[in-house]
Amino acid sequence: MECRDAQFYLRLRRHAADELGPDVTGTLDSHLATCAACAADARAALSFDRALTAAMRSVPVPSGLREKLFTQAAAKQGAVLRGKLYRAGGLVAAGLLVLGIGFGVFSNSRPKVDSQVLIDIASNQSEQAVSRFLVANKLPDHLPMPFDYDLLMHFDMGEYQGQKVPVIVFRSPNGDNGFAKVYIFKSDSRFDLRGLQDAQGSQARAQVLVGQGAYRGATYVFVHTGRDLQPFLRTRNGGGNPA
Amino acid sequence: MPSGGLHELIDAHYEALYRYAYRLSGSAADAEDLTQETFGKALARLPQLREPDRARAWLFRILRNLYLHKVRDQKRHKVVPLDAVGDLAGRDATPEMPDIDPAKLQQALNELDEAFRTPIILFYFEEFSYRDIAEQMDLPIGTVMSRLARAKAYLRSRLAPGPDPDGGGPLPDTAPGPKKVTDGVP
Repeated sequence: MECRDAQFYLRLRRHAADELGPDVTGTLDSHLATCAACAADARAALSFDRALTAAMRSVPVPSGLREKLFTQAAAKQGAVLRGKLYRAGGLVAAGLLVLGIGFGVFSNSRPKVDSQVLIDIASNQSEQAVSRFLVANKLPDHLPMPFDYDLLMHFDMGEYQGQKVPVIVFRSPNGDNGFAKVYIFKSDSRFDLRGLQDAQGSQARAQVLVGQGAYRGATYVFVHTGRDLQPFLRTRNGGGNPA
Repeated sequence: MPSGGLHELIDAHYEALYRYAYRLSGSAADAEDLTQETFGKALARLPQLREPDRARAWLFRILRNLYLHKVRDQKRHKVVPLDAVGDLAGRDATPEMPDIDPAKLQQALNELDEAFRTPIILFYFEEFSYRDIAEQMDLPIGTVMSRLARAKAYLRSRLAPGPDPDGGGPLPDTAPGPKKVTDGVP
């Protein structure tokens, strides 16, 4: 190794942790052992390194710095946590908003329920059921009066004065426990109208309709509360007249 | 590293970071600001620290980037030809170096461009390896060694007793106005 190379490597040599590698260090040390001038430079470099290291590290640290840093860290961590919390809250709110919008779209796009249609369907089904019941008893398939089948309570065979007859019962639309019962007798049947009326209570009235035309062969006895049958009939069709 | 590790990071490294910041900036106020900003950034980026053993190098790198950002904003660089820096020490170097006045050292450091100042600080002060310094500065290791050699020669010319390499005699007590020494590296 020549002196110029030795001078170069001396500048890079770090005595605490020599990073020049064994090849360079070995050659350098061999040169220093034989060259008094470079050896003196090496001692000077080492001395300078020590002095410079000491001066470089001689920086007084402000006494309150650690506390400042901890305070700042706590404040920043709080801000970070708050930020996360706000973001999470925002996400939840956004999610709820999306759900709400989605539900609104679903509700608006869903077919609307027309309660009147449902009532009509139920009413028609009731009327058809009564019709089948009448046909099964070999009677005209409709009643001679346009009853409001929304008010239908039940229909069945009822026993009266020893004979079984079809009975169709409607409730009053006024919620006053009123009723209208329709007893249907074959034309050749015999019955006591007074007894029938007494059995329903003193408030009841009775009307008899002997079927004609399409209703021939049947006698209809209407026992009802109130002055007449009007509350039990379909009003939107303007009611109907007995056949 | 868990987020609760910031306090341990502060305790372990705040003094070294402050000293590094002081030697980089030459100002106690700037050093304090830089140290605080470094830990602020570190908190935000803590999940990125996958190797706790590398925490020191990671923090030093954050601090240097913050410093560079500041000086870039302040446009404090002055370019002085690298010829002003002696490449090799003279043979008349004093064998036994007396203590160096830290304030004079800071004056000399302030005259160095950051490209020289950072490696020399890291080299002496925190004993980073050449490889560590190269990683800190994103430079080839050969460039780091070259800059270190030049910076060291410059500091020796400024701080060691003996004839001034520029012919100006011993270093005066009141240093001349700062002149940045750079090889033009931005």
